[in-house]
Amino acid sequence: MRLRPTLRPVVAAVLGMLGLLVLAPAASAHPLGNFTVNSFSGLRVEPRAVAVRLVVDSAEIPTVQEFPRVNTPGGVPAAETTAYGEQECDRLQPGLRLRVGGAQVPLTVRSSTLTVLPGQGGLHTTRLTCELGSVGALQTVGKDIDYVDANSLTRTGWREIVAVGDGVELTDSTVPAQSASAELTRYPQDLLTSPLDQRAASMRVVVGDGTVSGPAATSARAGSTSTADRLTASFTDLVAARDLGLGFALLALGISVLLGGAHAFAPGHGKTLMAAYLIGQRSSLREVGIIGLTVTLTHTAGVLVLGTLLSALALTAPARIYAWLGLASGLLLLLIGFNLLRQARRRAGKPSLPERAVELVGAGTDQAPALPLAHDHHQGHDHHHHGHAPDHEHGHQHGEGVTHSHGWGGTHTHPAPATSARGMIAVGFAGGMVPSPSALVVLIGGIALGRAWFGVLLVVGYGVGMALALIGTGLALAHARDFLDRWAGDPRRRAGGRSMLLLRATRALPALTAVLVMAVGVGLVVRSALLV
Amino acid sequence: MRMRLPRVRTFLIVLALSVAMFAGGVLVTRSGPAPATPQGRVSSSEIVATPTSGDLAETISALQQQLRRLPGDHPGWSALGTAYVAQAAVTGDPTYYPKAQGALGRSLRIEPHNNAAALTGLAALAAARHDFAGALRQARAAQRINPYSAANQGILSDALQQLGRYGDARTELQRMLDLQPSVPSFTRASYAWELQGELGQARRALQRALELATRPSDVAYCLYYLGELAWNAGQLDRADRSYARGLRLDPSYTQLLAGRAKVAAARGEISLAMRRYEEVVARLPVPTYLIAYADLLRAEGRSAEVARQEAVIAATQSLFESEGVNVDLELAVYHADRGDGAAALAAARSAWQVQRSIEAADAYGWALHAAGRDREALPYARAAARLGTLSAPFAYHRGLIERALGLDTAAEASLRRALDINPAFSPLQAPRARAALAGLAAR
Repeated sequence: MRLRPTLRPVVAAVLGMLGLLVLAPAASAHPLGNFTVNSFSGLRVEPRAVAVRLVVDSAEIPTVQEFPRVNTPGGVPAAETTAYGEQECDRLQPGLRLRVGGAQVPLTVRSSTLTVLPGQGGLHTTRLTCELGSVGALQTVGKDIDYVDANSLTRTGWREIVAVGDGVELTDSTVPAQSASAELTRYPQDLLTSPLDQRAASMRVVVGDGTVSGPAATSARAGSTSTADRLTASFTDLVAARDLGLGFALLALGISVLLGGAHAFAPGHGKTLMAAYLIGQRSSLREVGIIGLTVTLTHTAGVLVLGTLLSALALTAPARIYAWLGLASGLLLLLIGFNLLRQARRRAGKPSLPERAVELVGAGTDQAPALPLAHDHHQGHDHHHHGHAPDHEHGHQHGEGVTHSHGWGGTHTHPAPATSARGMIAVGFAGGMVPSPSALVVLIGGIALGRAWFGVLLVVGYGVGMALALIGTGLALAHARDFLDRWAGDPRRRAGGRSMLLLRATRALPALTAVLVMAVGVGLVVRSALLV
Repeated sequence: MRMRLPRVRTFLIVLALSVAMFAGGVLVTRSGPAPATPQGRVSSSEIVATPTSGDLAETISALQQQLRRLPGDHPGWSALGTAYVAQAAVTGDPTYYPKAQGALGRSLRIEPHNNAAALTGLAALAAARHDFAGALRQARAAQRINPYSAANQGILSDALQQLGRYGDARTELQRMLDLQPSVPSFTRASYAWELQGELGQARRALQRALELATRPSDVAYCLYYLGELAWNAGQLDRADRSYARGLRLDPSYTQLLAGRAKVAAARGEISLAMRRYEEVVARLPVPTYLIAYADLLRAEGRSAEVARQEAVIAATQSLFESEGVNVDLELAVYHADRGDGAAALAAARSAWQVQRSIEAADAYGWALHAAGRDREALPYARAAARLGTLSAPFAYHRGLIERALGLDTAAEASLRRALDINPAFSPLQAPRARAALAGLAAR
């Protein structure tokens, strides 16, 4: 087979490493030798003392290297085993370094147990347990504890440290409170887990009842998945599915559209922004459509570009890319918000909002000619119908340097779009700029599995779902707004102070929107800047 | 209207800025190996890849994370399985072999037909487990799917070599070199020259590898083989310089330390050699080093410590046997050295069943000699010399077999050659070779 581009470099690197090794059979280990020396330290922190349980599980070869008499026919006398255990604990004790508040705290062996267990090939393994305790007066609360097991540093094996508080609470602990191996009695057999290599631990002791918190402690809770995670998992599983029938592919596409729609409703700046923008800017279906389409195109293109770059370059998690994109998106929003605010302020200075809006639109209608979304310029376009049909088209595209000089003027009373296609595209661009991680995972997964086309299809479906959801929301909001307009603008109601207030509120909307857009932009910039 | 141009420009600048950030973000986060060229051919990462546990551990954890997200990713599973095989070899921890088997099997279940990477991984695993026929079969299957993988060519060539098919091994190695002139291919080429007794060519190939090596661990790897080449030719100073240089670059490289221990013993710096061996067998208790250490202890008459190391060697052997796996060639030679013909023969015969290399032939001949069956032994000793390899132990073994058969002239020539090649080839056997030569001269 041909390796997929994502993994080819990794596979090549691994094979390269291997290639170097196979040449030296004499130096490499035999598969069935068993050399590991595994150690576990369990720290129990009390207000005035620290207790350490050290467990060392030696496999067959190190056992015979360190304790040759273990294989004596008929077994080793119990007294000899006990003596060896004591000797071993004494030997290991200096290698355990405990510091409380920066000061070295001596440990002393309280008890030791050596258990000889039957191993492979008629050999034995040993399990040594040393119970140690801190010596002398000690005050742990409010101090930092550092612990290092410097024994057997050159030996291969599982190395684990856990820490619990007893009458105190441990914070910022670098180790968990629970042993992953049940104190070296049950090693995880998972194909995706390497032996632990935890040789040092640090934590802070505070007043409390004996719980542990910190990154290691929280990671134990990471098993519970959120709804979003499960949604993402279902999406990513689509690509990994083994058999791709037409029916399945269609189903998968349908699901990806649904997931895209769901994503659009999930909390996020893009959607909030869109809604606010649409309310504030009195857009028609065309504007809603342009924004939705831009979001979809930007999102899909972003996922495709990022996915291709990631699979071509490396496997690393794109967390930092998201931060950069978030920053860019935030800056763009700031700019848009600023423009909106300026437009809104100019508009506010004019006597009749609906009439003046048209002129203002004209001022903002400098469409970049190369953008594919632009409509053809209809010179003879009929501007005099007043209906607000959803397919209403405004010929707002103009040739180079054309000001809005055709005479629609005051006869034009419908709430015309208050922004340019460029502005809408910018909004859509900002909204779709940060690719959804699940879509990205699906694409990279598709590439890795040799189903790039399917991954792309699903990502497009995802984008379509997003667009549909956004357009739907936008229309609903536009209708709600129109209703509000009519209600507030109804002459029978004008007299009422309440409706005047409403009218004012609707008139203030563009400015509010602009401020909101800018606020979202600032928030995004700040959040992303922290992550970059 | 004055506004328009600046606004368009602002928009374009923002656009360009965001695109730049997009790309910049990707580049900043990029930390994996360089991209491969099409067709899976030469990738710079393959040239610079080395067997350091640090690199491997990183690769392994990246792959583990990726596979947790994408459990259906079969190239990921084969890469992980292959990395586990490499990890087992680096750390000497065999618990990685079942993991490797599991990961490679998983890859093949997802993609059973067109999966050369998984087959190459399985070939490497089989070779690591001394199943060379199996390794050959898997590597051939991988080659049928993708004939352009240099790594697969390397494993193919190794397997053929272990099976004693040196001509075929050279053909596949040549193809590997054509596909990719890299550290792994040049070190293999060097070994092929060394087998033929072409030490100059062997050294030049290693020098080429050294020139291509960029990272310290790569350089250390090449220096180890340069050291071995010098050692095998009895050039102690040159060997020690290479080993020491390598150790400075990568102190965790246990093989280099074993090399220095060997040189110290040959120079008569016994306590230094002992200290080094002690550390070597603590790090990597494999038969080769346990035996070398025991030989030195025996040569020094430290019988209590010899017994201690021999207990470990015996334990290693029990582990092999309990799994019904063929025993190392080193163990066959070890028993024969101690005159335990039965044990030597049992070990050598089981090894001969799976590998027909010149090393296996030498061990078999030497075991037959220890069992007193010199007439049967001689053809094997000659087979061991069939490539023209300059090996002091081979020549020594052959000399003793010839002496036992009364072929005094041949025996004298063989023993003299052994001591010419490397006068200090073993702390235990070199003095015996000298004594045997003196005895023959006295006849």
